[in-house]
Amino acid sequence: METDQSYDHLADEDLVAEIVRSRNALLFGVLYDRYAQRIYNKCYGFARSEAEAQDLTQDVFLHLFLKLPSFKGRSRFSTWVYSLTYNFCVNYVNRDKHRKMADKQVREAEIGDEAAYPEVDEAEILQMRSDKLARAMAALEADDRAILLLKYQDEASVKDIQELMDLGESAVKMRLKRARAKLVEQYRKLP
Amino acid sequence: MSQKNPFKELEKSLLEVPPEMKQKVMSDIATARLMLDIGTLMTYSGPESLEQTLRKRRKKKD
Repeated sequence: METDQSYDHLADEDLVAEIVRSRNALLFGVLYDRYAQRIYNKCYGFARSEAEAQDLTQDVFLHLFLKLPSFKGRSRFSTWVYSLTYNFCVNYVNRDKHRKMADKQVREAEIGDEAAYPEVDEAEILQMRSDKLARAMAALEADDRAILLLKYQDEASVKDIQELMDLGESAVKMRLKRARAKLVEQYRKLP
Repeated sequence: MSQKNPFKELEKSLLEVPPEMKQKVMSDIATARLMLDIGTLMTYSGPESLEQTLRKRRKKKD
């Protein structure tokens, strides 16, 4: 499927503004070309099969199209897209558990159990072997996986995550601390 | 974090997106655009209704 190459030079943020302004569905194809592989692979990380990852990807792109007007440029567009993708995938994985990421009250209440998780040196995580890291990540809950990917793979700052997940600073730090502790625990279990 | 980040290593062997995916996505977007333009679903819950409708339609096709 061809898309207009004259838009290829546009920065993501300018392209999005143009799509929102003109509601030109074909322009969305340019955005698709830029993000399809990353989004598909991120969805695959939460899916049980390639077919499921394909369905998730298709749904994420529709969701993205409908949510584009809500992008306000407070973070990089790529960070916003990946956050939207993780949020969609986590809600999909947890759809039967009534543990939607959008439930801010529940997430804020988690701050209380901070003491239950040991502080993990970030350097220990960044020295992990990638093959073992992949297996340890697969063993984590979807929401722990999502926040670790946002922070360490997509390089979102704590402030970005606050904005993207509509959480306070302490809640973000708590969730990161908990996810790091669980990751190290899983990693150490592996041979 | 810039010297060697194992999370970045995970992205080095990416799966290829099935070529037919773009056609499917663009078909969804065209339908969404049409429905939004018609304005019949321009209530506060319009986008959510639209996503559900398209998903149900796709599942019926499968």
